[in-house]
Amino acid sequence: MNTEKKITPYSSWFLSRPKTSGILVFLFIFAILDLAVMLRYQVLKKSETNEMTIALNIVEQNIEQSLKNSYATTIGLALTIDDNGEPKNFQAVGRQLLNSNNFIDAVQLVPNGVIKYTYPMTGNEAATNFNILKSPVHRGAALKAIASKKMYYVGPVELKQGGLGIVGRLPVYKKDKFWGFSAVIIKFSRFVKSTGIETFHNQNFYFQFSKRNIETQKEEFFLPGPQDFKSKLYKSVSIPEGDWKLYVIRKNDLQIIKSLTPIFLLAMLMASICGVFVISFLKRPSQLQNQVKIQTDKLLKNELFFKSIFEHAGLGITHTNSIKGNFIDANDKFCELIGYTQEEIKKITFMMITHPDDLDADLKKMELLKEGKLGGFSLEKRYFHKKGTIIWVNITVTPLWEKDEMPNTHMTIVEDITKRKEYEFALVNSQNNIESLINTIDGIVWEGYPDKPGVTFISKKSEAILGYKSEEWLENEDFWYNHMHPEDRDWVTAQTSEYSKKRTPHVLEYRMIDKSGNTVWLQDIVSIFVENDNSIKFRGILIDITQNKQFELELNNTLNLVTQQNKRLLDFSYIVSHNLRSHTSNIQSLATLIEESDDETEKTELLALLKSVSDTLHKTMDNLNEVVSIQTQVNPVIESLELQPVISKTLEILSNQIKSSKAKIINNVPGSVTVNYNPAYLDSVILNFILNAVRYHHPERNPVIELNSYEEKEYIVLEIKDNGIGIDLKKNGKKLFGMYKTFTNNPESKGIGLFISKNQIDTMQGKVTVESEINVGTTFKIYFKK
Amino acid sequence: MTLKTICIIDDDPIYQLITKKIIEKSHLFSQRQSFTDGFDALHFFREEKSIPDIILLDIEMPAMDGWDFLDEFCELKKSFDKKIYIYIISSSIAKEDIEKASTYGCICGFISKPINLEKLTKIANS
Repeated sequence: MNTEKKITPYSSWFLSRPKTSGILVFLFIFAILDLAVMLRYQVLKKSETNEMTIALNIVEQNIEQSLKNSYATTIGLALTIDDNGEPKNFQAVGRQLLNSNNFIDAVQLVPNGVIKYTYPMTGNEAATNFNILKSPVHRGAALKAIASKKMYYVGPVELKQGGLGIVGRLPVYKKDKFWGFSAVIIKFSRFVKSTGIETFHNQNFYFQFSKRNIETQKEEFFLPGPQDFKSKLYKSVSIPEGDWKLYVIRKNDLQIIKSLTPIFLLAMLMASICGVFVISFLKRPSQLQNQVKIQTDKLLKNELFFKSIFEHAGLGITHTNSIKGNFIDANDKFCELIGYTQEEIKKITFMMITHPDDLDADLKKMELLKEGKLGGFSLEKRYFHKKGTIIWVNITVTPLWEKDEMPNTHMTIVEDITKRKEYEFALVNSQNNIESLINTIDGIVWEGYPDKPGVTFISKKSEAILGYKSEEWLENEDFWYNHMHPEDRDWVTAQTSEYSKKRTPHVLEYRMIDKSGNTVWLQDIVSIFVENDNSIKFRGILIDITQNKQFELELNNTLNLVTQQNKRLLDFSYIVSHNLRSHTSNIQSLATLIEESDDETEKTELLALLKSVSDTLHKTMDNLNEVVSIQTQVNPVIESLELQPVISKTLEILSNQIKSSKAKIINNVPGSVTVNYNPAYLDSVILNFILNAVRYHHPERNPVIELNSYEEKEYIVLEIKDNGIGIDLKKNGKKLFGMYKTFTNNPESKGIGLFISKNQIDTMQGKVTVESEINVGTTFKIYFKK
Repeated sequence: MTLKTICIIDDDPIYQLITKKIIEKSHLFSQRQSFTDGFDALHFFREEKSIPDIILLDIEMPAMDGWDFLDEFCELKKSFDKKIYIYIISSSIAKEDIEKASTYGCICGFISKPINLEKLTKIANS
């Protein structure tokens, strides 16, 4: 525990400084690895130095071996010299020596410093008789050999016989007297080869071979390769036999470093990775720590924020126990709203201050909230102020428990809507007033849009006028069209759309069918309102004008009746003025003439005329009587009569006329056709029309009379078609059915038949029409009311 | 004073007979013609190229009535350089007929039946 505690501050120091820690780790690992590299470097360096030393030793030994062989050779050569100072068997000995020592190029005997004997001679002729003691190059070395009495090597020098070479000279004494030199000549290239230097040519070092110039005291180098190596690592041995110095020199110091660079880089990389890893590893907790800090700050700020909202909000906010309903906390606004102090509020529940009429709805929603079926709710309800007044509020309840938690508390935001409610009530009141006003209007008030089917408003009078409730009308988009009289639908919709296009107010009168199937005449007074967006709205009132229409209809009927009566009266006045007066005036005139006449014959003649006039008058009176009796008969006897027997009877009556005029009768009337008619009228009507058809036949052809029967609306029609002379309807159409109106010179034409028939037909509520073309024929259509 | 010629157009034979007797007895006219139909009268006037001075015209006639006759006659009259007096003689006392008659410029008067010497004398002196 104790250590842990001690460690914790350090670790937290590191933990809170990931970068620093990372760098430290990097440095640490890098240092360790560097040390390893350094050691490795040392080892490599040492082994290289060892290698160089070994190589140097090998080469030195080789040289010494060569020099020893040379020495032995010169000794051997010197032995050829006899006591007289003359060499014996020089050639043979020379050959032998050269054969056993193949690195020696030539052997010489130089008595008194002058080259006299050379083997082989070939190639070395130039050196014969050369006095070395007089040569500046060889003199020094020769003297040194004489002085030291040891073999001494000169060179490498430019040889007389050409090429670079070394010459080893052994001073020979004969009887303690200097005789000369026994010498070996070795070509420098061969000498180098014998040293074995070449076997090391691949190594990281090279050899150099030098000799101090006796005269200049300067060191001269003879092997290829840099001579300026004093700054580099090298080792050397001195070879006194020739005052030579052999060096072994490391070619490149950097070689080891180079070979160590990858390891060094690897070390660096590893250290870096470790550092970065440590940084990232340590950074995470520190980031988390930062985050926690930021969050904590935020939370603190939020808490402050919410606290200030809670306390200074324009809305009441409460924190309530969802189970018991008691207030846990409430802001000042809420307290102010309901008139309790903070302390008092915490002692009451929301149920206590909620209007009892609203409590059920509130509790139901709370229950749903607690069951998790609601994620929150809003509600308009009433609170009681402490003083007892009612406050309208809109509450918004939000649960403060998590989904998987048990319900605990909730937050309620309370908005005072008392003012708004007052306005609303006032508005509803005034709307109700207007509506009740509209509903008292004695007509169906409606409202609608031209582009929308159906109506948006229908006043309650709909039920009184059409038997349909306003709702029934409003529910059905096509109510208006469907309940309009089928005969009015097309023209009314056409007119309405035209008016709406022109945007003109209009008044239409049409029929609708009420709930019990009766026709109701309505006057639709439509106003057009242009809305702000230039669209239009219809407002109209449908007034029940059924009664007016009925009056109008009755009036029209009465007018028609009166007009007809008038016409008959006029006809009557004609009959009276023309037919009766013409006879009476004739009687008057005849009476005067009789009175004034003196001639008895004339008197008798005039009296006869008078009688004929009175007969005609009588006949006319009879006809008039008949017409009057038809017209005054209010309820003539009506029976169901078959047409066919009546037609047959008529044809029988007219058989003589038909035969004499050669008329052909085509009777297409079905046997089953029956009409409700007065029997006498029916006989008279059919007789008159058929007789007419026969009578007015065309003089140039035989009459053909066709009888047809069919139904047309509320009538049964009897059609009588002939091919007679025809009637100029343009001229005589009006006169056709008048009394005593004739327009032919036919003596049988009395102008009474059609007049009576027309009267009879009119009385039976039928009608008669005529189509005719002169010289082609005439068709009469007699309409019998069903 | 030369006597005028007179013409009766009426479909009533008894009236024609009576009027003929009155005219004969009156001695007011030099010549008397009678037609029972407008067609016959027009046909005669056209063929003979002569028109009487005075025409007594009935309205109610079959085939061609008085009005139809007047429509054609007023045209025909223009070809005769002569003053012709036309009187409507009708049993009608209907106001409409009298009014209608007054719309024809070539009509001198509307006289209700019965015709008598007094009325005839007035006509002759017109």
